[in-house]
Amino acid sequence: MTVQELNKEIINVVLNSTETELELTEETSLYEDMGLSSVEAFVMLNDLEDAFGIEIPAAALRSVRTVGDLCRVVCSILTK
Amino acid sequence: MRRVRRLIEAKNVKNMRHLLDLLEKELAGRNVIRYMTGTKVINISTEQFFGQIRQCSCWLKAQGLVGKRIGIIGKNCCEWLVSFCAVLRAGSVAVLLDRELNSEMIGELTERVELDAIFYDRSTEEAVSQAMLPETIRKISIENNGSAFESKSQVTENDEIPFESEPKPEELACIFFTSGTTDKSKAVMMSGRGLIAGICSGINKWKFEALLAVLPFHHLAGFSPVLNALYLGAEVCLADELKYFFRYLECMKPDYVLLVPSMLRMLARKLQNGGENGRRLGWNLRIIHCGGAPFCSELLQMLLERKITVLQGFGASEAGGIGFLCEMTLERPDTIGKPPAEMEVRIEDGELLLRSEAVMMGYYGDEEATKEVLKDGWYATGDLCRADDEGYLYLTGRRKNLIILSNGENVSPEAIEAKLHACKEISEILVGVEQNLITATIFPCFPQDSSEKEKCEIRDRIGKAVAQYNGQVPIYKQIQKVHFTEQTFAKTTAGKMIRRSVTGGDS
Repeated sequence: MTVQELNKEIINVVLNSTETELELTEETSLYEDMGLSSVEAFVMLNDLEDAFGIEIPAAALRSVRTVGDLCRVVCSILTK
Repeated sequence: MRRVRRLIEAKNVKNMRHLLDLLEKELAGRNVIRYMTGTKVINISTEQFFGQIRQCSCWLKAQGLVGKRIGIIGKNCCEWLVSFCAVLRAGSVAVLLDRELNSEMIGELTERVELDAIFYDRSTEEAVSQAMLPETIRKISIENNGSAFESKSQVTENDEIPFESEPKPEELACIFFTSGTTDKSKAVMMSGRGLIAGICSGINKWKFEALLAVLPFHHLAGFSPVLNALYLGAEVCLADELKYFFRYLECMKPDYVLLVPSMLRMLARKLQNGGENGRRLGWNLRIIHCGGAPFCSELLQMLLERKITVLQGFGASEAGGIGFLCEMTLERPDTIGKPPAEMEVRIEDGELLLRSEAVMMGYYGDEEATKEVLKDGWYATGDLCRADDEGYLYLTGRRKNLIILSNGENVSPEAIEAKLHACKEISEILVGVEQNLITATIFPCFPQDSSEKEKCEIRDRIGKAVAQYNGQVPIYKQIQKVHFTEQTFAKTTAGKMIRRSVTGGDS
C-alpha cells in the first residue's frame, strides 16, 4: 500500500468516526475546522487502532493539529 | 444487591480508616471494581480491593510514611484507588496530581505543597523521573511499590500491625487542585471529615448498579463519586483510557455514567441510533450525570426518549463532595435543582453561598484567597444565582468574571455571551472591558474554504446580531467594540475558556 492509499484509508476512518460532513484533506484542522472536542479526538484514536490493528498512545495527540499530523502518527506506528 | 446507605451514617464514622473498614464489612462477598485489559473484563472483589488497601497502608507504615504528604499521579486505575485509600488509611495526606502535568509543573507543585513521596504509574513515570525533585522525596511505582503489591497473600485484620494512632478527622487528609479560569491553580485542602461527608452522602434513589468512572481521579468529581458509589452499594467500572470510552460502555455495561458536556455531546451523537438505553450499541445506560459546565439542554429530549434519566450535577471543588444533583425535566431544563438535605444555601448579592460538612478547610498556603471565599464555614461559589417560587435554583453567571463598571453597575460577561450565541455564525465569543467599555472578541464560524468576501459577509451578519442585541439592553450593557479573531480561545483542561481579569474600571 502506498502512503497516499494509507492516508486515504486513515481519512475514511476519521470521517466515519467523527461523522463530519466536511470534505477532509491533510490540511484540515481537527479542532478549528472540524470543531472536535479533545474527547472526540481521543475516541477517534480507538477507531484508528481497530482499523489498523495498532496501539496509539494518547500522548501522541499532543502534537496533532491536522488530519495530516494524524496520518503521520499512524504511518510512523505502522512502519515501526 | 445489598445497600449500605442505612448502615453507615457519616456522623458515626470516626475517620477514613474507620470508613474503609466499615465499607469492607458491608460489601463483603461481592465484586466492587471492574476494569478492562484489552477486551477482557476483570472483576475485583471486596476482599481483593480492601485487602490491597490494607496491605499498601501497612507498607506505608513500614516505610515511615504515616502522617506524610504523598502525591499520587497516574491513570484512573485500580492501583490508583488502592494507593489513594491506603494513604488515607495510613493517616497520611493524599495530594492528587493531574497525570497530564509536565515535569516542570510536577516539580513546582511538589515544592509548593511539600511532598514527602509520590506514587506514579507507567504513564507518568517519565515526567516524574525528569522532574526536579528534592532527593529526599520517595518515588514509588503504583504498580510495584515494594512488598505491598508483590505479595499475593492477603493481609487480614489479624496479621496487621496496628497503627499507633487514629487519624484525626478534623486534620488535613487530601489536597487537590482547582482548574482555575483566571489564576494559577489553587490547592484545595480537605479534612478527613470533609471527605467522609462527601462520600457518605445521598441515597441511591435511581438504584444504579455500576458507575463508569471516566472523569480523572485527581479531580474531586473523579474520586469522590467512586467512593460514594461504593457507599451506595454499587460497583465501579474504571475508564483508564478515554479513547476506549465506547468500548467500556459496551463491554462493562455500566448503567450510570458521570461526564462533562463535551463527552455528553459525543455520546449523544452515537445514541441517536442506539435505541433505548443504547441497547442497539450493546450498552446498558440508564442514567447520565452531567456536570462541570452548563448542561446542553438541547439534548435532553432525545435522551429522555431513549429512556435515560438525566441528572445535572452542580458543585465546586471547594464545596467538596456534597453538591446539587437534579433530575432534568423538559419543564425545567436549566435549573440546578434544590439543595440536598446535607447542605445549607444562601444567596447574597446575587451570589450563591453553600455550607456543609464537606466544604474545604481552605487553600493551602493562600490565606488571603481563603478569606475571600470562606467565612464561618460558608463557601462563596462565585456563581450568580436566582431562585424561583418553588425553591429551584438557576445559575445566571459568574461573579468572578463580573465586569464592574465605574458607574457602579455589574455586568456578567457570560450573560452577554449566552445571548449572542443565538447567532449561529459566532463560534466562540469572549466579552470583556476596555476603558470602561464592554467589548467582544469573536471567533466566527467560517465554513471551510470561505473566500475573503464570504468571511466579510459573515462578519457583517455578526455585526448586525450585535447591533440587534444592543438595541435590547441599556447602554452600559451594550457592546461598544467588536474584535474578530482567527484563533479559538485558550481553554483549561476542563474546557472552560481562560479569561484575563475583567474587573473593569479604566483598565
